Amino acid sequence: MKRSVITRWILQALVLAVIAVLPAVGVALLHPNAPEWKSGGGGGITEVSMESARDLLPDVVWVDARSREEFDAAHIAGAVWLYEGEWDSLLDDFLDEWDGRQVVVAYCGAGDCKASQSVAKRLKQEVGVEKIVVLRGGWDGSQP
Amino acid sequence: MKWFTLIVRVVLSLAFLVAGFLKLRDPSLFAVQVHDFRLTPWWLSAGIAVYVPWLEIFAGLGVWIKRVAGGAWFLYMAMLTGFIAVLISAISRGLDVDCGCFGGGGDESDLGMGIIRNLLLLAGVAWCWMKDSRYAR
Repeated sequence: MKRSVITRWILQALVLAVIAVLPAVGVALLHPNAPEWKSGGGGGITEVSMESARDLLPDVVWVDARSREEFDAAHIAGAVWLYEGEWDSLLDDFLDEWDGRQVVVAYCGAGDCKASQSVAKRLKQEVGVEKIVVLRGGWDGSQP
Repeated sequence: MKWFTLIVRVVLSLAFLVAGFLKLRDPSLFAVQVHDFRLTPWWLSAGIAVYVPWLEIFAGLGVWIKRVAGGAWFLYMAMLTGFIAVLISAISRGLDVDCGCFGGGGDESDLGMGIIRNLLLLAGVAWCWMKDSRYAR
């Protein structure tokens, strides 16, 4: 095979690869489900949509980071209550439910709540949960 | 044989277009899946999650454009080889992760099946690439 032909293929591949950077940057900046760049390094936890979280079922442990009253009123079926204010007493419930391999999806009340992010960070840092995401829009967003 | 080559080309093109667009539904989820392989720091996993789907889409379209078809096949070969290497690495380390090949929809936990699928695609790429090269002479 001629060397010039291989060079041409590589150049064509490079052109395609460079062109692909443009929409990728667009996705990174504009996509509603774009990954957070600082996540996983102690920064924000990645958010996923309800649809994506459902895609992961049945290997998901739902963690409800809302208050007791809110949890008792209604929650996602099978969710574990892990309110940060009662972290020490509730953590065992989570550990009983989580098998060490499942994806953990934390949620709190509304889209702008921070409890799920906070609980997710603690689970990541203190318990070593690696596969953990936060439900975008929280409980309110999950309701039709 | 022309028909066979055309069918293989359609299948390969569709496979990458579908895989690319499915991953773009939720790049966050795909980033988590990439990160699960424990080969890349988070920032790189996130970069892969927004870039690779477009690379797949451009390669999937490129095979139909004569001026860049050779380059598109080159990308196919490079990506599929990379995917296979990553899957073998995950199996050898005993990781229980999703392949993420199609963005996380459905059960993608059978990494061995992912390798077989990619090997079949690789064979298809080799076939089409060879045919293209022959006509291009």
